[in-house]
Amino acid sequence: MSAAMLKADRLMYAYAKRFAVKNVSLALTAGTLTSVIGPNGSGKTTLLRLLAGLIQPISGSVTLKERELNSIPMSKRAQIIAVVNQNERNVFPFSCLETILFGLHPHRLRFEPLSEEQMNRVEQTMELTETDTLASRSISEVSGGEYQRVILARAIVQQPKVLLLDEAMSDFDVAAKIRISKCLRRLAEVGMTILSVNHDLNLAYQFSDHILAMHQGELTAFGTPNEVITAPFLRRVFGIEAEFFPGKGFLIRDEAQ
Amino acid sequence: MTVFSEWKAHKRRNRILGLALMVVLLLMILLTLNFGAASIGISSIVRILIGKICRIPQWYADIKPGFVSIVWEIRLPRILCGVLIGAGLSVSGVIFQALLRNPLADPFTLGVSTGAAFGASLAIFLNLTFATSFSTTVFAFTVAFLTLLLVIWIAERGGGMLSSSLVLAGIIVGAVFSSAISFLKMLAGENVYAIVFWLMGSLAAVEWSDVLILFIADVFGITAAWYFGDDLNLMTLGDETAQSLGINIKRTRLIFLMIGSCLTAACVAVCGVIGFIGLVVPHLLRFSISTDSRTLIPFSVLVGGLLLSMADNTARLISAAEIPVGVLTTLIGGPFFIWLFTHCANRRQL
Repeated sequence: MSAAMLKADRLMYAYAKRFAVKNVSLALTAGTLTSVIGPNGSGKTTLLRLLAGLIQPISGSVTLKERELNSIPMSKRAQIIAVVNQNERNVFPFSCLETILFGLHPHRLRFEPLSEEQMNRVEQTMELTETDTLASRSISEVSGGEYQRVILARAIVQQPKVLLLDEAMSDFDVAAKIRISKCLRRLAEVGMTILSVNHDLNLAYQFSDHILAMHQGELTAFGTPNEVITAPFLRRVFGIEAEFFPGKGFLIRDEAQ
Repeated sequence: MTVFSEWKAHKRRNRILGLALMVVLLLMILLTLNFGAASIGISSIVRILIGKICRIPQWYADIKPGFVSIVWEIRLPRILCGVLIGAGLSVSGVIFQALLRNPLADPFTLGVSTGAAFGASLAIFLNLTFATSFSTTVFAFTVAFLTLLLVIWIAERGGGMLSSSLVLAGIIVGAVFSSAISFLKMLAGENVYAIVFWLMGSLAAVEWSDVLILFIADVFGITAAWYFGDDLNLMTLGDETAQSLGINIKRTRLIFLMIGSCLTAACVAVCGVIGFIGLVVPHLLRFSISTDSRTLIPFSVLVGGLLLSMADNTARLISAAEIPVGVLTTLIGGPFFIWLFTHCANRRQL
């Protein structure tokens, strides 16, 4: 087992007087795809923002490859961690290509022209995320799903070691969700550590190495999909009943009484 | 390189367009030097310019001294001021729109210009203008700077310098200064005319010293904005995304607030309040040329300079009683903006 890429130790965070994240500790192994699941308001986004260093915990710490996250300057951090935030929108008419090129920012000096290698990388990523046809379209005019694809491409172009996704596929159609999930799997296989907040339980079940479940601000379960997603778990955390088909998945039936 | 081919072609086109605009701007400066009550002739003007710039008086020795001073002391500073103010206000518009993530923001949104206007009104009110015209500028600059500090302080207390709290703080401070100006006008008595006319925004009384102030502010501000242009682009993505792409958002915001305010203050200090240039020019260019700051800023300089200078020429030539250019830009800019708004809104561009 290789060393943990990203580690959190007893993280606490509160908005006003309400705790959003309570005492969460975790360790993500390099080259794994972990899905964060949990009901609305269970602290998933807050956890992700803490792990990205976008907000500071009240107590506890985040370490990136054994190094305290806070001790790494923003510009260096951006070379290692990429984040796709929920609900990002740009009102200015940048083209989709320009938006994707922003992902190269942490790796470029001011006024440094694009290298052939960088252009190739951008082009490959755009093919992978199916954004190559959007290149010259204005980002303020594309659909929600297309926008998400563009910002996912931007995060991949950033060439991070850790990729943090906050409901990055929520507006995708079902086929795109599967295609992009496969693509994320491949990125994990070549060494990227991916943490993805996901409301689609089936997708999380099918494509993740690990499932991290949040409930009322606490980490309630962490393990392989088969270990975590069980009928009692779904009943307890989401209040739903599900029928399981071993090796295939599950079918959500009805709300628990 | 299929995805890049259009992007590269676009860049090439913009470069050519930029050069063409530069030529147009220079030609316009030369041509408008010839506009006015005294007809001097282009060839004489060229001789005066060369003679003055190269310090060879022989070049214009045979031209009437009156004409020489009309061109060199009156028309040229005025035209240059128009270009510099148009450029300064437009770039400051680019900055505030991106920083506040609002395409409808302009140099006036944060109240800095109202602060500058208050400073200048106060100077006029205190009769300081009789000593030297410099005092309006100093007062305008000082109050504009204090206004910026006040707005930042309020925003910082009210929610940590988010764009929404900055706008709110700006509106409040702007409103207070606006009332303070009205109060000064009321107290001014005979001086009220000077304040009112100054507030309308006019280039009628500019001198070479004004050109120098604007030139320094523009060169410093525009170069800095262009240098940090990449960071400004990323600021439009919102704080968290900008941060995750490696931007120190607090520092970047402070840098751009300083640059934008400095540009605005210099413009307002020299010529009063000139509306709409800072809103319309960046807006127009974002949709027709590029919204990338590195391209948008040089284009704003050229188009802003061209437009304001043209508006000022119209203002001084249109009638015997000269219309303040600030009134003209708003009179033309307002309906134009309505047109832009209604047309672009259909295409979800606003």
